[in-house]
Amino acid sequence: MNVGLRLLGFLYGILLRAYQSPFRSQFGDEMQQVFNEALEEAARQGWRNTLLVFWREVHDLPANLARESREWPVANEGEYFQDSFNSLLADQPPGSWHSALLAGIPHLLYALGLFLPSMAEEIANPLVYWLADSRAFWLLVFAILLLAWKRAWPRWSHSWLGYGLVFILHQVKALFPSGPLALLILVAWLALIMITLLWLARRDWLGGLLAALPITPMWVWWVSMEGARGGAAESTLYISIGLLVALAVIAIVRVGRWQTAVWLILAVILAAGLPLSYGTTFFKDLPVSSRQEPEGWNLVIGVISNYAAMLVFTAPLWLLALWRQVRQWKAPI
Amino acid sequence: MNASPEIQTHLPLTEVTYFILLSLAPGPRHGYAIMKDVRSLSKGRVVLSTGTLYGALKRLLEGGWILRSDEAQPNGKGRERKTYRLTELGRHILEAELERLDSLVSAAQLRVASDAP
Repeated sequence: MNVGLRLLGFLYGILLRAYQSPFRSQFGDEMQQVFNEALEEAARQGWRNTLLVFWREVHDLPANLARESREWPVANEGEYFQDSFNSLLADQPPGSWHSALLAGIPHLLYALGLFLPSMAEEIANPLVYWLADSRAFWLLVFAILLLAWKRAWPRWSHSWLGYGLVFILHQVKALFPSGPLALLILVAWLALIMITLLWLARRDWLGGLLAALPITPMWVWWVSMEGARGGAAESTLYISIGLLVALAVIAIVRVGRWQTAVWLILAVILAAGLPLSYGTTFFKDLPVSSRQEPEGWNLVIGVISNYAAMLVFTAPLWLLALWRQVRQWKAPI
Repeated sequence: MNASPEIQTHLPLTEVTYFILLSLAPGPRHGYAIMKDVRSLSKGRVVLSTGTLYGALKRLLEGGWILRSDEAQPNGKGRERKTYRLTELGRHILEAELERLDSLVSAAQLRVASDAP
């Protein structure tokens, strides 16, 4: 099988992940095998036929998924709530303090790593500056991810995994700062993030949530940092939000309830969104002496865009919650 | 032969179900063979994706219309393949559908013949 066919086979494997787990475990291997056979035969008739085979799968996927999803409760009448999807969003056993702290701490460390240097400039303490350098944070992230890999990815490690995902973009963006390739890379990265988060969240909502959360502050803070090093006041704001996110994560892991998690995250987004949005608009691209309070559309657009970024990066979780709600409405009485 | 009322409740079949059952009528087949056979039986009009095929096979298995079993590869090489075959119920349903279609066509032919100048 040549590289092109292998790639299509790999992409088909990703498509298969969209089916519900019981269906996949019953037919997934067989479907992959049949798809590979169909691809090989089509390849003998030319690349156009090969692409048609793949396109047919993509084209039929939404209808097939809808059909499987609709029929699942009927096929398992009386056992609806044993459906793997619903058990996926079922309450988790409360996490230990140890795992809750390990899941929460990177949010605070990241905020410190990113914003303590600008505070340190004001208080002129080189030791603090060095300790808070972001490079130390990234080294820690990779050390923790290595440890997590050795320990088969315990749940708390998903917080660190989220930061690892953003670090990839951080590095790639540094290599390709502008131009069409940079845009392409950004789009590819966004697709990778969404697929990874959806995959994680489908396996385990809490793991998916932990991995999604770093991306939200990273995105918003990173954008804000492009133009701003606002000193102690701004840094205090952002570090406070890092602490807020860390506390929310600790509470979510400790409690392990889906409803609690949704409300806490919503509260963090609402609480952090306004000062973040205001701050990023206020501190944007201007030296400290000439900063002015944002007004009118600047303020509105700044606030909306940052809230939108937060909602987009937690989208897999909202979609799962929405999906669950719709399915509960449709559940047999 | 008239189908029992219980079998009548399953009719008419969808086109996909009809062609899959028809494909399995001569004997057991594996997934890819069904896919190709459906295309050939429908003269290229019905081309199944794997998702559509296996969604339909799942429902037929649940309904007890077909059975799934392992087929050893020749020479004992390679992975075992799953094959599907019609059950008695599946065969009765297919026969009932063929009867239904036959009666539709007969009625149409009679009417067209009598209307002809």
